[in-house]
Amino acid sequence: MLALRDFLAQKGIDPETAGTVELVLAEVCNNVTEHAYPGAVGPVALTVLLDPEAAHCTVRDSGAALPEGTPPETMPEPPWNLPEGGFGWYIIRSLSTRLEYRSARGRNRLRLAIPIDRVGGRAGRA
Amino acid sequence: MKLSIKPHGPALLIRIEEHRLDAAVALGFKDAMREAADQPGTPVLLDMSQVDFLDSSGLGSVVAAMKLLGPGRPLELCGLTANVAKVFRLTRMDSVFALHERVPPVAALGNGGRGSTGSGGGTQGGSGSGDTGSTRASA
Repeated sequence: MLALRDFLAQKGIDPETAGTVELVLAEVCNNVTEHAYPGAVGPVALTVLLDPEAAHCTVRDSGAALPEGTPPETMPEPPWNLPEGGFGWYIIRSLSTRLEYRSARGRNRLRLAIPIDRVGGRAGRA
Repeated sequence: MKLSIKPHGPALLIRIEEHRLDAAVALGFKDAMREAADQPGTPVLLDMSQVDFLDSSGLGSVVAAMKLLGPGRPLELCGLTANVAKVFRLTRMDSVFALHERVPPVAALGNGGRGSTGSGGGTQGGSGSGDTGSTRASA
């Protein structure tokens, strides 16, 4: 994630957008670690492609698929019996567009785009 | 997880001495807060000005800290940086916690902010004239 932050800074992404990309990808990776590979270790491949409008992200893993076949849409309701979890997908959905999930032959692929306000550099690949 | 803990007038001031509060450290943070809560003082002010990355696990651990303190001992958050504030806003947790732009001066604590600067005794103190200066503009 720190390498990602450096990459985005190099490409002239403003800190706020970079923070959003980092947050969304951290949430996705947390989900993969917790649910796709519970109690185990497995590969996760992360691709970020930048164009002037968005950071296009793809996350691939070979773990368990999402149980519903699609990312959840609900958000836990505050308060008072406040939830300590369950915000991950809500954060991902709120900050991204074009979310697309596919699971086939033991491989899962999540694609999403994060809009960019301004980019100084050219498109690149991480 | 490194926290620095000290009394702050009637309050207990806990400062997170880390730049990230995420899935990797959330459990450690919860444990450290449980230990810190043994010290007296209310409200509990959590200075988050050093934290520039918070994910949903980190958020969950702050909620857990609030719950372990219980309703009689409010947890108030100070010095949220832009990335951290965004997560609180997005999840509407900004309506659950009292938020301070920076650690409020001791004079503003306790008796509903008795006469320090007239307006807004405590929460959302935007003016910030000459107090502890513990916030850093993390650009």
